[in-house]
Amino acid sequence: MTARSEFEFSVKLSIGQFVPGSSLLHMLDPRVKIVVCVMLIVSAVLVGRIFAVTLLFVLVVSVLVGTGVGAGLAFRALRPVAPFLAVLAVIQMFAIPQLRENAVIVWEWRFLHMTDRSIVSGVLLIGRFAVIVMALHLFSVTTSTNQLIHGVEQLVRPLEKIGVPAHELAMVVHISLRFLPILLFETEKLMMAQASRGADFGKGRGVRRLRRLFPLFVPMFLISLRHAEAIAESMESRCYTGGRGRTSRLRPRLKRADYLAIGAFIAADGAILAANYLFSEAVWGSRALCIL
Amino acid sequence: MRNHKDALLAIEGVYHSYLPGTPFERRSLDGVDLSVYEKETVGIIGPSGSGKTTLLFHCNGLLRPQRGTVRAFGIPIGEPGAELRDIRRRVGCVFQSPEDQVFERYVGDDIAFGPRNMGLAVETVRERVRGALATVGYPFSFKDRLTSRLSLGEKRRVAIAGVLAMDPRLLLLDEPTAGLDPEARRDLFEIIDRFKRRSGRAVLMVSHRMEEIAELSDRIYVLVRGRVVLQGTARGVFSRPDLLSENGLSLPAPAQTVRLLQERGIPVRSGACSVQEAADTIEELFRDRT
Ligand SMILES: Nc1ncnc2c1ncn2[C@@H]1O[C@H](COP(=O)(O)OP(=O)(O)OP(=O)(O)O)[C@@H](O)[C@H]1O
Ligand SMILES: [Mg+2]
Repeated sequence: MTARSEFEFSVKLSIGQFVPGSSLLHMLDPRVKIVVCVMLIVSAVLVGRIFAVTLLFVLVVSVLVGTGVGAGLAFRALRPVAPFLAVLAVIQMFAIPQLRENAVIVWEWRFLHMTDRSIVSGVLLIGRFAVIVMALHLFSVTTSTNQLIHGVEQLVRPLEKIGVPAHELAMVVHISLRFLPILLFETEKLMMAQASRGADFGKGRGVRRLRRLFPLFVPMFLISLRHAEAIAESMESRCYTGGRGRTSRLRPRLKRADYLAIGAFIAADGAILAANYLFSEAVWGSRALCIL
Repeated sequence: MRNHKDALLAIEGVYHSYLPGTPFERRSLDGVDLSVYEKETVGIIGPSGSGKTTLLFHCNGLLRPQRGTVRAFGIPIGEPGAELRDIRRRVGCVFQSPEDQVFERYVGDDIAFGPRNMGLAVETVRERVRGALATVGYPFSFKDRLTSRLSLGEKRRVAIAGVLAMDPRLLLLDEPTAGLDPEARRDLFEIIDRFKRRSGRAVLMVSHRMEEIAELSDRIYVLVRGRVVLQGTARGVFSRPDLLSENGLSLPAPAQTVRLLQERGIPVRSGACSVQEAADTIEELFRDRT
């Protein structure tokens, strides 16, 4: 049994990070992936049936597996949050009062009730969360920051007419995204420097642990400023003046595959949503169908 | 033969990967054995990216072995309950880049960081700072300089002072002479020499300069792609120029000079590593002639 180093944040950071590759998803236009990702998230929130959320889950997993990306990474991302999710689901099953109306009590003990509806909502919570995490993964693992930025910029560009600064917006997103890992890496290095001269980050929980992080704040602030200055300088030295008249080396164009992909996805997603609404108690009058 | 138990630092079969379990996983140490005994200077050489820094970080518990064992002063660093603060107090590490090491605003505060964490009295801390500054050749007034306004070489000396102020017993140096002028380099050698002559001290040093490794080290490890491919005395290691050049390393200039002379048919004795030794062997030649 060996202990883990207390500084390797980068391992955690690697969750959801872009992994270069040549899968079908990597090839797709970033805009398509943004739309697919957003649609999946919205659908996950909209659906209210267990079978529908299961189908959504199957859809995401089959997209991940079918395009050769693999779902392993996404499952790994779910693992650290699984305990919280389980707790939330249990709370949902017992403690949400409005779920008791018009519901069949399945199990009760003193003030605790579990109804068929509360079980459904607990399961739905887990299902929705899983779908959302997988959807974000599907996007972030296969899209480089550069592509993401171009995608955002092009999606927002139509709004330029009403005064939305598309390029500047994209640049802000870009720099913040780029800064995150840099700052985390710098924190890691600073903690190592302090620890090797006797600072203690090891044991303790909660407030004590937080207080130990205190000596990091001022140096981290200075380091951030230094990075910001460096970025500003290098933008100046490359004559950056903002988006006007700027052309781009990467000019993603929607290809046939993009249209096919988005079409197929909308069909599948739409079918699931439709099924979700069609198989309702109102239509079929059956409680069992409604529950599932 | 020295007893393995007496080693200040004993590393056995250590493996390490960065970002383990992710698509970016990268093996950086591949079963390394290394030991450092009292009063020794041990040198590590190896091409860029061969895992030298990673190995040093295992010596004071900044990284923990993923497989294998690391013992410093008898304390097993890999064990979950290991008192890492004790180890880090005794194993001082001078980082490869002083930018990463010097973090306080003022030189004095930075050097005092270690002693303060050891819970020393204010007066003692002050004395430690004064002593450490003197050791690296600066007057006490240097403590009031802003660290952000220092040159790289100055910063490196401050970083070294910050570590020496903790009075460690094992000193880890990651390319300590990079960016130093020749005089500062000689001063550093002097510091190292004085340091390890005291009882119970030892130095483990990484460097890309073969000359200084040859001159300072009692033993040398050659690290290539996370493995020790060669180890021994300077004389032993630098008698394998083929293996070294295969791995992007070279002989120290004096040894290279001797080798060139030999290739030209001049019967110089092999084995010289330092300038002094090279001069001696060449002199020998002339003495034999006359
Ligand atoms: N924080 C990190 N995350 C991921 N990989 C790393 C990290 N630090 C080092 N590596 C990789 O581990 C390997 C060993 O790195 P290390 O810094 O130990 O090399 P080194 O021998 O010190 O090189 P140099 O002579 O250039 O300082 C390299 O391939 C490097 O790319
Ligand atoms: Mg290094």
